[in-house]
Amino acid sequence: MTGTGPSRAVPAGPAGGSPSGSRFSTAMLDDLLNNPLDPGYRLAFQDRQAAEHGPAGGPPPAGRRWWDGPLLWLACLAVGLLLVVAYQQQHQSAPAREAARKDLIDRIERLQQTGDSLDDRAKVLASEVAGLRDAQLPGNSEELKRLELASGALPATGPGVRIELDEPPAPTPAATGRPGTTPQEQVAVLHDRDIRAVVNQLWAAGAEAVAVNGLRLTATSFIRFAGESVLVDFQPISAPYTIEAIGNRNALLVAFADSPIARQLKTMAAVDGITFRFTGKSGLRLQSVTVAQPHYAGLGPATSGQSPSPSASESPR
Amino acid sequence: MIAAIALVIGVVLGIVLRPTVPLWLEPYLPIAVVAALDAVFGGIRARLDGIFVAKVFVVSFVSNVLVAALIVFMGDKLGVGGQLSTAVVVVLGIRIFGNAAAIRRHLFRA
Repeated sequence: MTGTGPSRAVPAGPAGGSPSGSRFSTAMLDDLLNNPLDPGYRLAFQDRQAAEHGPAGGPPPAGRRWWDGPLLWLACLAVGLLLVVAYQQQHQSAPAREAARKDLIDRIERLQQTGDSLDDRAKVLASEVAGLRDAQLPGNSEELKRLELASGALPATGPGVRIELDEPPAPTPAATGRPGTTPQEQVAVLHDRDIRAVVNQLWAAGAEAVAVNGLRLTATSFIRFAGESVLVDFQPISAPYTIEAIGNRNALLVAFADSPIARQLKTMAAVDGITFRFTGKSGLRLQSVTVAQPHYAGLGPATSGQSPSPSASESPR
Repeated sequence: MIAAIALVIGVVLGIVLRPTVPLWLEPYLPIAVVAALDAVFGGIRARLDGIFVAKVFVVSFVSNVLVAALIVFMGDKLGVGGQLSTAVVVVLGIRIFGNAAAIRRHLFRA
């Protein structure tokens, strides 16, 4: 501080200052609006003037010190540096982050495309193999076709049911104040266990082929949860979920409508607002998948007279 | 005058050196900029009013930036997050506007 002149007690200059002391409620706002200048300037200036015009022989003029210039210089340097650094931070780190994100998305999409094309090629090769095999083994072909249909290696068509599940609609940001503040439990109600329960119920009701979001289920398929998404055979799927099953349409509908999971989903539709529909369909078509070949499991010696039972691949998982 | 030159030199230094900001400092930058702008506008206005004192400018600049950073830090720790820094931006914004209006009156007599 630059000395303590007598003017220290003088209130802020004529331009500033609160208009009157009586209006306490708005005094602070008034001060803020009418007197935006730091009061320190006026005080320090008055101090300096008092010191300069003070009585001779008093303390030397305290207004200007030798460090004022360099200090001001440094502060301005700092202001300029701060502005530029903040600007660069905002406008360079954001694109970099965006670019990295885009690159990752590109790579994921490219790998997915590669995976899809490899899958297609595998299907073509499998059908070629099947054709060659049929040509070699004409006798057994009907039985093989039946087993392949049951295991998911052949596309299946036929009547069945379609069950549609969807998450509740996301609440509008206006309702919650800010986007992204809705609790996760309100927008992601459906879990892997709901879909698994539906699928198991369909198998139990006699479905012969089941697919979730177009992914055909086989004897070794799984439905589980990873992070926030449902995985079916390691492929992430997201809402809306469509579960299709081929079988006796009426039997499937009746058995499913009467099941605990259907009741539970109906309750969730009423309480949480999920979408839940199930309808009978006359012509469903389910894609085939590449069925994993058993590497370790072998045919054991037939204990009774019957041939190795194919029902394992048809039974509920 | 030297202030303007120093400002330009600071900008050039920032462009040339491209200092990297440590990650923990990043959230404080925007509010520090607003605080610095408030100090700068206050300084310009005081200069035009003829009552500029370098020490007040430097102290107000440093303390503005520090207090702004402190408020952001406190907001983070208290869990109110952005709201507290919104208050800072509103108050400093009003002051910047007021000072800018005073500067305008000085420069254009309007």
